[in-house]
Amino acid sequence: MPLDFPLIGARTAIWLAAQLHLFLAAFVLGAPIFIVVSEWLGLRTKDRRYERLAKETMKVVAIAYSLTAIFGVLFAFVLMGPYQPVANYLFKALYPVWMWYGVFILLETICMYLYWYTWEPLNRSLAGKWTHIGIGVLLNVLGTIVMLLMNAVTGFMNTPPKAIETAGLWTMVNNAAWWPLNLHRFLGNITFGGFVVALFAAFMFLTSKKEEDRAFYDWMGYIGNLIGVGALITMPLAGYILSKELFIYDAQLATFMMADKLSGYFVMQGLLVVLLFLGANFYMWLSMQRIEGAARFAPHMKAIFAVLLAGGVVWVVPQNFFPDLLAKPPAGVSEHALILPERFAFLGLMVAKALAVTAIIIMTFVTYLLYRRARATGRILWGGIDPMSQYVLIFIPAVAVYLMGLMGAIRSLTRMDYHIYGAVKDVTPYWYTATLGHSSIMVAIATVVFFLLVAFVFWVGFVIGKTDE
Amino acid sequence: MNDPVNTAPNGASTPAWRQRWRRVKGPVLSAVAGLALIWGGLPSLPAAWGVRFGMPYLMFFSLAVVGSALFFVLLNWGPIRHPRSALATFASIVLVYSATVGGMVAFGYWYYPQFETPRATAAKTGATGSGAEKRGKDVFLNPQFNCFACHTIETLGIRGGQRGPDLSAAGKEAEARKPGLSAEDYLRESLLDPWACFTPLPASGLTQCQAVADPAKTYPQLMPPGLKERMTEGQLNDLVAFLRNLRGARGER
Repeated sequence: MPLDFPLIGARTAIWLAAQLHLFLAAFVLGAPIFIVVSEWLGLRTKDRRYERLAKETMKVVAIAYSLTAIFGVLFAFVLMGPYQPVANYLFKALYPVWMWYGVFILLETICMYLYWYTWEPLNRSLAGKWTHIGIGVLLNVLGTIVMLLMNAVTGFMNTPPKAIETAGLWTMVNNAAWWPLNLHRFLGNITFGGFVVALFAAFMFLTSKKEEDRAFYDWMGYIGNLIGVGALITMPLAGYILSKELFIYDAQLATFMMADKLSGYFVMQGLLVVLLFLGANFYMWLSMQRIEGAARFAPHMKAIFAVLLAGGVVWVVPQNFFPDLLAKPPAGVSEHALILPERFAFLGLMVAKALAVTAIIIMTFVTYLLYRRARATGRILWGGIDPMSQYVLIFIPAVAVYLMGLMGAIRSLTRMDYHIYGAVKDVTPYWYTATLGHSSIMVAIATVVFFLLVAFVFWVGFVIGKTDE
Repeated sequence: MNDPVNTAPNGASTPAWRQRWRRVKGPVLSAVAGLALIWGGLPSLPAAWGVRFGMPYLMFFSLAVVGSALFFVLLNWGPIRHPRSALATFASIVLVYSATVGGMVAFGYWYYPQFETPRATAAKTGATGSGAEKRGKDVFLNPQFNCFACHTIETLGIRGGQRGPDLSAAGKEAEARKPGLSAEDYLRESLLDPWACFTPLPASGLTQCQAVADPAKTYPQLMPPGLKERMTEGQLNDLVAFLRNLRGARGER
């Protein structure tokens, strides 16, 4: 190992730098997708709230963009120091990918600033507005290409071609995990972007004094949550596709993830996803209460919550409480106490878990159907929502950010003691699989730092700006 | 909700705490009943019924019951007050965010059991028998082949997966699995070509392996794909030697 990182060690340094870069990147890639859609909806429906949502979110994106680049550079610094051998390998093996990455990141940056700074000038005519929307679409195309390029590198580290020495560039790029990862991250970025917008709206709702602003941010929080939940519903399927590809690539990866050292991580993942769905449905319950005459739906909602909670328990209950396949029960504890009783063993099987997640997804659909029904018969009092709902919109992003961090850890740890699975061994002192406890703390640190960074962005972009006005 | 008392239609006032209690009593009483069932009811049922859960499961269900009750309490709580100052707003946001993240750490760090020993060390301990058997055990425990992902060997204390049969008596059982075939050859065949003869389930009472009429109608895959390609001849021989020596009774430790 050429260098270690002082005080915190190389793995902690690269973990935090990479994770914070990815959090910010997910937001600046995911948010512009619905920013452009929102701008287009504003033009089409003449509802000025869409335009304001698009513009305010874009302002957050523009500030967050710099932070994304800064953490990208910090990530590269750590790669160049303690992880120089694997960085060299990746550069050599995928050199054209890195070159194109540089080109597209430059083009994306130019397009992003063009999109942001031409908002007002191009808003003066219809042709100008369409041109602006066109720039926004281009920004998304470029952002997606950047994501595809980096996913090729990430996928290569997880599932390199078996005949790696003789593999051509396209074989290395088009590795087993590439497309599943593209799909998973594309949907994940939209979910993430939606929930961060909801966090921003909650932040602004709670700090707003004017009723008009509260009405707008109430609406914005609703839209952000809707986008987040809409994409979230598809995530379990995308996750299954990714896992299936990993299983086909090497059955050992799947068992390592689902039955061995990472099994606890997936129990925690189940808990986090259940909390996300509970939070999203709870928010809809509170949203419904600001619709005139919607109280009649309350009994249905309670039944929905009962199913959600029951589904959540089935999804999260572990097949056993052994942290890995070779662990022994602690002294004085019988092995049977740590395993589901035989009569209930089915609760630990994938069939039960899949049924539970299906029930949760269907119930979330039903919640939205009830909301639509309530909206069709009653007036929405925007701004009149229970402030508790805004704390739910803070809870949901906290869980979503944490979940993304945990899933990132799982993806990375799936490589076991390899940098590039099966090809380049991790010979640093940090080669081993981190325990769930260690990872949960690392992810928590990244989640809290990310929150501080976005709070800083909101403050710089909106609170200071307001004072000047 | 901020009024300390509420006036009923008949003129009698209802204290705020009583109103609040009315809203939360359903979830609270349900939680008490749930906890009584978990800690009092379930452990008192006959063991033969197969519903005895270990302590970690009882804790898990208790947390689920308490969490669900808290969730319903929140549902019934009613509107809360808007924070009065900017500081209170910011503090409340930070509190909710950090409490959520803290809850995750509590689950991952304190509640869920942790592994400690890197597998490379664990895999090499306790090997007994001849050189081939020792090497065979290493093959069995080697993550590259991942035999233990599906198979347990209870007699050796190797608690692997449950998908495949417990191999505690694999060597002894192999002697009678296929008439005319030695135990070693049967083990080799069952590793490389599990479709050649189907191993009966322990509950069936059968000792001999069964011919598979139509593989498409049974499990789609018995052994991990590519085992033949990934395992060397030497490793296969060692694994067979290791399995051949397993002669304990199932469930015996």
